[in-house]
Amino acid sequence: MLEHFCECYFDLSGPIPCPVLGSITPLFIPNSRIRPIRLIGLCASLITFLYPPVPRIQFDPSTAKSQFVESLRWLPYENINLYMGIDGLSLFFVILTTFLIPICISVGWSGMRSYGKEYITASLIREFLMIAVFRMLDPLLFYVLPESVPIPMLQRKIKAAYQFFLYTSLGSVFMLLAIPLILLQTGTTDSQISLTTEFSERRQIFLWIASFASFAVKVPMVPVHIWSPEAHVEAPTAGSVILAGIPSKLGTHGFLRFSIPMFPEATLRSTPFIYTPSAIAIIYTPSTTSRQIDLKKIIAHSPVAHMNLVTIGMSSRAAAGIGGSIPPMSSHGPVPSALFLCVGVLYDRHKTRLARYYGGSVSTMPNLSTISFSSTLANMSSPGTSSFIGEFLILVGAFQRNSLVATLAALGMILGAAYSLWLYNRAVSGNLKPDFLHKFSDPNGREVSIFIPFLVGGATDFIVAKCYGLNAELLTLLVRMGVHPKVFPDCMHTSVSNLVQHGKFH
Amino acid sequence: MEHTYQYAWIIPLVPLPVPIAIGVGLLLVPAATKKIRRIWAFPSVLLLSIVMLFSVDLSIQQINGSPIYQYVRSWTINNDFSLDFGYLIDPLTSIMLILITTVGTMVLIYSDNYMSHDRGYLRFFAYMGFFNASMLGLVTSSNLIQIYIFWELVGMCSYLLIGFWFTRPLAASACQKAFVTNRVGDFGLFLGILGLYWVTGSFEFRDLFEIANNLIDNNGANSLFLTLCASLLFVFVGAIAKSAQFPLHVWLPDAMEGPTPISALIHAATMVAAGIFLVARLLPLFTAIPSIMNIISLVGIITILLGATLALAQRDIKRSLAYSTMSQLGYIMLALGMGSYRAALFHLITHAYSKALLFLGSGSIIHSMETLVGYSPDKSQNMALMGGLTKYVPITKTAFLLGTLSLCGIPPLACFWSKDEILNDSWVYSPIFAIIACFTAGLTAFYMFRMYLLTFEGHLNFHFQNYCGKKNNVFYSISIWGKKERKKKNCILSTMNNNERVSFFSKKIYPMDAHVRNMMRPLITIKNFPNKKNAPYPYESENTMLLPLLVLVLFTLFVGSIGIPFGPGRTHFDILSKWLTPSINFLHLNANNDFDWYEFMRNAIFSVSISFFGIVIAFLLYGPAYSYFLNFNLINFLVNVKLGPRRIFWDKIINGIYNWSCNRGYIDVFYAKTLTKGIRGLAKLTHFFDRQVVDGIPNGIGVTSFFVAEMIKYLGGGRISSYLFFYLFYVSLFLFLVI
Repeated sequence: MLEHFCECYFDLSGPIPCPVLGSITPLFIPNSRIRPIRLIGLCASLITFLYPPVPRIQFDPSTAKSQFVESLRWLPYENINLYMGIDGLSLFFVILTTFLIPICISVGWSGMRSYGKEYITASLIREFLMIAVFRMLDPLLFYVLPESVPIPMLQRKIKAAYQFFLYTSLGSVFMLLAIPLILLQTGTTDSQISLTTEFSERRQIFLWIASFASFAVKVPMVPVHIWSPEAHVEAPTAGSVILAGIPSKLGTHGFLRFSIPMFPEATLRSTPFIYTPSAIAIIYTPSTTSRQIDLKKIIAHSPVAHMNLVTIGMSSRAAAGIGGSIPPMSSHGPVPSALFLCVGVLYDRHKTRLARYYGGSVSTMPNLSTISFSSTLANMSSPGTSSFIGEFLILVGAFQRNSLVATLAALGMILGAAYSLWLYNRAVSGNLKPDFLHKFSDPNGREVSIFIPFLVGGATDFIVAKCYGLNAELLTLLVRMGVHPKVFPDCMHTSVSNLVQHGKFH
Repeated sequence: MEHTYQYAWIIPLVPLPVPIAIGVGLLLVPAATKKIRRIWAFPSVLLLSIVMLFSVDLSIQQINGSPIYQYVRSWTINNDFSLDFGYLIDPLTSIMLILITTVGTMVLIYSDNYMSHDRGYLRFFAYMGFFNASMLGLVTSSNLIQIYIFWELVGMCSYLLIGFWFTRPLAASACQKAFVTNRVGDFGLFLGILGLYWVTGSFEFRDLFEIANNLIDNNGANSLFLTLCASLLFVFVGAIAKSAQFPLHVWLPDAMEGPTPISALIHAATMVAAGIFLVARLLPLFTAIPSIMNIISLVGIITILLGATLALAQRDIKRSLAYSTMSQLGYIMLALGMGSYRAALFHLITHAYSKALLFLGSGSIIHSMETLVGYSPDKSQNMALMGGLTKYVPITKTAFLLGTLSLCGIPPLACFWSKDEILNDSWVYSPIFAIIACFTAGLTAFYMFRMYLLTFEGHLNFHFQNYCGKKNNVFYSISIWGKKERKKKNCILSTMNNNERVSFFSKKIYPMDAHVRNMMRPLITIKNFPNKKNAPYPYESENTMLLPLLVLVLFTLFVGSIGIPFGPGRTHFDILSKWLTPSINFLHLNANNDFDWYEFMRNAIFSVSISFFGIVIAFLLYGPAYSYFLNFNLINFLVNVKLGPRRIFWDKIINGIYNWSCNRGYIDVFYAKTLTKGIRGLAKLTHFFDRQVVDGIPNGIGVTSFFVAEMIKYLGGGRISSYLFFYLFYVSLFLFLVI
């Protein structure tokens, strides 16, 4: 019995049905009984969260192959199967996803009175889809699933939703064109097989462009980035947390998983087309922020800049760059999310997000100020925070290939610090503005406990966390991420080297 | 005693428990933590003293000629990329360790009393502990990455401590300015590190020196060599920002918004020395490329002159000291640029102690002035309101005077020896630089004595401020500090006038000074004093504040002796040279072992006479007898107005200097005009681009699809005739094309 249980548990199929079950169960509970719905949602997400550490322990860091592979026959006549597996690259995205969902559910804890059922269901379905995406080894499914990820995003405003769908569908059309081409050439869409296939150079370029169009929207790269801030502003706090945490990583994950290993020559040739928009974005987005008046919109620009740094690292073709591009992808889940949560707390209290109404919150909300300071530090990747080591490695890698791009990217350091501090100073320092705001209260226990994992990941100089039960788990995880980043390279090492070799970069 | 070396890794960690304990305590048991707040100072001081003993031990071993010790642990990330972490103990490190720990301990003892009434007492000690830890980490780093990490951390601590009183908008903007300016330097340092890594493939100092020297020996006029030069320049940009050298010095005077102990520790003795430390650390690389050495010395000399001229007419005592710090750091930078390693480090040591003494002294003055003017830096640090403090704060006065004399370069005191050495070396290096440096030595004496005279001589000017058209209500508490702040710019000129007028008044009531207070009291509006018994006159600080002052006085008196060659003529016997022997040997500098007393005396007499000249001028202009002179001058002036344009011309020059100094050399304004406006313009542009172009594309698609749909709706409206028409049209077109 126990053995069987262990088998089930150590199998990675666990995280897939768990959120699905969690999302179906509330449908049978009447909407008026909000408590059991919430509890079920939270429990389902927490149980899911307990899974990924298992493969982390069992994970064999010495091989670059996908582990825990499962396959399911799906469209057998076209040789399309459902392959799922995990390797050093995707392990941390799965962990990140399962980490963020319980937090989202607890963020909306008291807010979800009328639409609690929908909220829980949407969150859990989203979790399921995202775990599936990150574990997917098949480009076709990699196309299908991200298309469905944005659907339950709970958008409220028409314009943001319109932009979001327009861009993503525009990008995905190209991807859809690319997949039959792969199918034609290889006879299957299994990426394990396609990886070993040699594409002709012309075809590679076409395929690369097609996949780039799709991934660039999700990253987002510069001309098509505008949906990201818009969507962040319009989404509720939990939505922003998820949006900042995961969909933008789909793009970079796609680059790493498909574009770079499958089309090495094309990647080599098209490096300038990644470098240029990324460098532009790194300079461009921080400078836009100084014209913004909405707290959330200012923060919403930061993932854009950071993710573009990641794309620079990935196309640097150096082990340091590619290896370095993974920690920021994971750390920029928690970091902007923590800032969004700070704004969310402020918004809950005062019902406004305009920067001019805020000031001197440090006098009334010392805890929130400490938290937001830590997150601000992490946002400008100070040493000691989780973003530092990755960005450092990216720039080391990029500098060896192209010093101009690295210089421009490092210029983002100054601009990033300028706007983050400017925002922090405006909201936190100075005098209170009692003409505008009247009631003040520091974050309560629930809010603080939501912040704790972020805080510990975000900045280690203010380890002031009270460990609440389960959070201890997250705590150790993120502390290791920030202070002792060795945990990353350990398991990524082989995957990354393999990637570098496979791309014939040397 | 290998053990001391083996366990040296513990040095940065020792001060760390206190901030952690305070942080945890504040979160878990805030009430209890706050209750025992004064007790927290004790472990802070204790731990730092332990480090001090440790570093004294290390230094003694270094002096006795034990080898440079390095310990490295490697952390492999990839097959071809690994990071090393470790520590390095060499003469430079041990000097910095001694500096940080001694000044740090003194400042901690001092700030226990200084901050005792502040609500943020615990926060202060937490930040201080964290700063000490990261500064110690910085100086014991064995590679560039570690340096960069701690470099950022001390910058962050500096940000937190400058903005310690964050409710004041001035402090908030000052700390932001400091951080962003430092971030520009960090950017430079970062690129420099990347470039060095690219060229040499290593972050570690030893490998770096070897590989780079090979490269230079092979004399490649190739791209690698150029990259090396460029990255060294970038590294130097980092040093410029941290050490407040010329183009990036703007943050240092603003940083004086922080509490005074911070200014003494961070912005005079330790953190600003980090830039110097970095350049000294990488000096083997810099010396190989003469053009960069020239740039370093050029930046140094510009900073010397700029700092001194800007310090001339400041009215804020701390700002004045800050510009003085900047100027003195310029001297050190100049010495490094000239390649005189020993002189630079010597001046670094002596200046750190003297300037820490001066800052702590000014803190004591500010504290005593606060009884009079309330908690308002605008008032309590205003030298125009001070004067005649000698009789109220005699001990502080003595200490401050000694610090001033030391900085002026008066013989038995510390700075004399080091400054003299730099001046000597500069004559060899370049006469023009030497002339500027000597001239600035005079300026230094002038502004330091101006400061001293305005503060301690004459009469307490505060009582007369009501006559000067200043605002009456000066008593406001911390919580509303921000509201009453006026823009500094507006009162710059008025201060100058105040100053004169105040002294003018003081002449009249000179004989009956004892009664002044009684006379004036009804005229001053005293509102917020808790009890009337607390007579509003400045009082001497308490013993815990005076003790560090006295210790630093001892340092100021005797620290110069480490660089004085004792013993008969030719033998090379001073401690500093012995200390630095390994580094100097490594640098292949030929230390001139023969010490010429005759030449030394000649130079010393020259520099001392320049200092005396500056002091005499300061006495003439600002001395107690100034009022008479002023009267005299006024009459003269009235007479001379008709007489000639020369007088007016002279006045114009003086006014020009005043304006230059008061407006901070127009550099801040220039930055505000160009950089900030430029970035704003860029922001406007990008915003416009966002709105019009990037946003326009989806909107355009939407509008287009709308029109297309309208058209199709019209076409597909169900009219058979139109269908038929299109059918026939296309068929005919097809036929036409095919046939």
